[in-house]
Amino acid sequence: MSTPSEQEPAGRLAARGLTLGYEADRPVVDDLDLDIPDGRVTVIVGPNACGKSTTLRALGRLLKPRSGTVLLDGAELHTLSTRRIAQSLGLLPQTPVAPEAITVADLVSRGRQPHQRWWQQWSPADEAAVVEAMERTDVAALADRPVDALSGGQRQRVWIAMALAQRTDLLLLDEPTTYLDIAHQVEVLDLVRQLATPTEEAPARTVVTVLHDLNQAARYADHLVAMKDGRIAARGHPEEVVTAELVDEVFGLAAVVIPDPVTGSPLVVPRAPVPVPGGPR
Amino acid sequence: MTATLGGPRAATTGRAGARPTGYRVLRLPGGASFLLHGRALLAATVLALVLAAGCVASLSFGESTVPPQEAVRSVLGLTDEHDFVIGVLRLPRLTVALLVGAALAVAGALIQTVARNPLASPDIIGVSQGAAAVAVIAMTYGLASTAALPYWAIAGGLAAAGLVYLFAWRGGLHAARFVLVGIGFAVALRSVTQLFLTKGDHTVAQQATVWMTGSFHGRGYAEAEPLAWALLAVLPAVCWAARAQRTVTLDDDTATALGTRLNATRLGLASVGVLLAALATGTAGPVDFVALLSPQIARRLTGTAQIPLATTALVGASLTVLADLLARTLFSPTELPAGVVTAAIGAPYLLWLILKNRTGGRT
Amino acid sequence: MNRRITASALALACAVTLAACGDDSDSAGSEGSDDGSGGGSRTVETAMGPVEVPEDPERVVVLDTAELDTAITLGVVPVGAVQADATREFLDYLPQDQLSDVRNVGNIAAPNLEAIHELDPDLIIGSKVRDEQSYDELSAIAPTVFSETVGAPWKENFLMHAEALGRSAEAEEVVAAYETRVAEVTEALGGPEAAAATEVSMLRFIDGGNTRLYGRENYIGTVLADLGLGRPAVVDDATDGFAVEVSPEQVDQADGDVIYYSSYGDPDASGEDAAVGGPLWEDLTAVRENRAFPVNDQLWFLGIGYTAAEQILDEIEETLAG
Repeated sequence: MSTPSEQEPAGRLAARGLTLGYEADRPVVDDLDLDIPDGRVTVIVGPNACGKSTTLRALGRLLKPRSGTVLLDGAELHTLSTRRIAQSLGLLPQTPVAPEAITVADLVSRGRQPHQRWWQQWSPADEAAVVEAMERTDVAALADRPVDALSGGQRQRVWIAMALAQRTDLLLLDEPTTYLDIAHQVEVLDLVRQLATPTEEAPARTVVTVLHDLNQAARYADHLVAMKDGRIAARGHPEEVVTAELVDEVFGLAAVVIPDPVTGSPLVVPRAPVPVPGGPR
Repeated sequence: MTATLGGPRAATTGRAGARPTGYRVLRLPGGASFLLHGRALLAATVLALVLAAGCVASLSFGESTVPPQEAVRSVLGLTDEHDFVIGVLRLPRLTVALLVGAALAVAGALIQTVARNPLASPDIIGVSQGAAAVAVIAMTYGLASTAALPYWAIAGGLAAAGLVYLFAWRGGLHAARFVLVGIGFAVALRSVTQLFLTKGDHTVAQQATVWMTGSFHGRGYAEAEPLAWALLAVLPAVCWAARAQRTVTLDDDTATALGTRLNATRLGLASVGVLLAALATGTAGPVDFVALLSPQIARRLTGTAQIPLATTALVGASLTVLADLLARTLFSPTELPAGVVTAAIGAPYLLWLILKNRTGGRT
Repeated sequence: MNRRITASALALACAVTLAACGDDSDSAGSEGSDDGSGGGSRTVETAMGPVEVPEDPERVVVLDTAELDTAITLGVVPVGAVQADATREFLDYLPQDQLSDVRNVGNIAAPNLEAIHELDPDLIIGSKVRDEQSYDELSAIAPTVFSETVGAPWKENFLMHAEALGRSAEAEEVVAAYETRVAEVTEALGGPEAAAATEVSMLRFIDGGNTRLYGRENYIGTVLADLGLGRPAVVDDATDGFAVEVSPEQVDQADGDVIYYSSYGDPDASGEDAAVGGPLWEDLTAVRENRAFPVNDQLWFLGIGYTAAEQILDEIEETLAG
């Protein structure tokens, strides 16, 4: 058993000595220290089964650590009530399931649950939060439509709206772009970027998300965490982290890294060991 | 459609989208506020009228007919002319039918919520069978006087549910496993009942068989009273359950993310459901299909995303009251057990539900 | 009284229906309609304690087939009687002309309390084992005399119900006549030793249940015992002496010198038709010796009473002493 390091967390959410796993003797994540910078977008990347989603689940108290701890505002997560956590930390799982026949507004309004009591089922604050969440995700026009009847992209925006309605400073998104086509992926990620941008009404939110696509991660992250075999291989600003060496080390992929022609962020272009159509002959 | 999230905000529908579709807000002084579903309120009102009409009909019709207004006057104590037929025979029995129907229906709603399965119900996951098995064993060994029988049945229902929990629990109450284990126990307990029926005294077997079809015959205030107290006692729990339904109907992770203590909540919901089912079954025997169907009928009436509990209770009460009225009068003077009537209504509906689920199922 | 008011109040509070609740305060306790009888009353010791009954009951309701046999045996035509599941009539072996005015008051398992009330009876006879749950309501309609149970103790039940009916003297004559007749039939069978050497099997196919091999502790068992007839060894395995339950394919266990058999309900549905036409049947000793006799189920099993017994004795004499 490793002892959690004593280092003061840099932000509101941090992990110390986190060991996670579904079976006792096979940890998926081993002795992980992680600091989530406030008001930034942190993206966790890594190959399949590296433990990135597992880590995110632990940060969102969906998975109990085998050892180590997750700290929220300096308190150990497992000592806090799940409702108390839900007031500070929102979370959208990879494949959320909505009840049959629920409408958009009904689903989004459920994001208010942690702020409500059975005798306070709908305060003006609830209403304001739901309106804002739906406007921000541009689903207000769909309010009375059944969620079942929406396209994949619309549905994902509705789920994000639900998480936003929770009005938490911290937001964890587990692969929010899965199952979406590229246009909808960009749409969702633009929204994520926006959330971490302070506005007049609200300070910047802290977003932690798991992404599959390294280029998207490099483009949208303020803080990139690359994981391999349950450990952190590298972390920092994408420009520092995303290098040809890292791509090779973490993903085992030979690639060149060039600046993204639009944003200037690192762009990973895999090398071609065999000729590909359209490539140089 | 592609929305431009970065661009200017799209025009919103404003108020209409501000609160969950179909709900109205009731604000009380002091900051209390309640979400009320418009169509659910309407459905509940209509059902209350249907139920009231059913109650009056139950009090009016039988071997002798009491005019409806006379029946109401009798209940209100404005006349003592029908004190025996209404006061002693019909009203107590009606009261039991009403309470049993409401209790079974709410039990079904809670168990379907926990199981996330419209085909789950206390008569499928072993509660009714547990109640029946213990009741029959108690009868067979002469342990139970007629008065004590409901308590044995309640104990049996609770014990069966406890075993189902125990075997279904694996670090949490998983919906599908809960149903499967329940079905297994239901089958096993039914065999136990059969075994004791054949082993036991034949008059006991006859009595038990009658009890096992679910009947309000001979039930009265003595049975209604404990049930009424119990219902009143679990009323706050039912209010809590209505609130908890908003999250437990989502997937596990999302529900947890919204601050729900999922295992505790599920256990709570299922426990209230099992308690209600055991009480109702103990009182009248297993009145089939009421628990299974009432929640689904109610949900179709209201169009809500979760099962509306008050509407469900009214559907259940209406079903049992009308079933018992038919059971008493259809082949008069021979009385059918009410459970036979509910089964006759319920079985085709269940079939339809299954067929519809198969063709129009969601992922 | 208080309890009832609370219960109905609670019920209505819970169920949002009727606006108010009844204080039907003066109904349940009143002793129905014991007017019109001879005026005096007697006290009968019943399974539910002592019960005051009218001196000479005139409007009697019977809650089981045995009580119907008893009433008819003692010359009292009841105003109402229950019917058994599988029958749509009162007992067919009783003189039907006497039954034409008897009103059906529902099924044995669930007597219709309202129908009984409508008949305005002055005595109700039945058993605790069947109708304990409705005792309060029944007693509110008329004095209700319950025996403890049904079946085997039919002779004691007969005497209790006869006392309730005010026919104890007649009952003694009936019992004496039965005993005389029993002695006659035993003689006709060749005396007690010959009777004891004849093993009689009682086989009843049941629609909706297992086939029963009747043991000693039941109505027909006691009649056979009175005659001193022998029984096959298998009846000693009977649960509480009542019956051994077998599937219709196990009718070979019924073998004996003589078999009497019948069906409760439809002979096809009960399994009788299949068993009696089946291969096992032909191998039974009694069948091979032409000593397997179909009998009337209502008479031999369902009815229970001295009128039934007289006829059963006739049939036994006819089939075995012939």
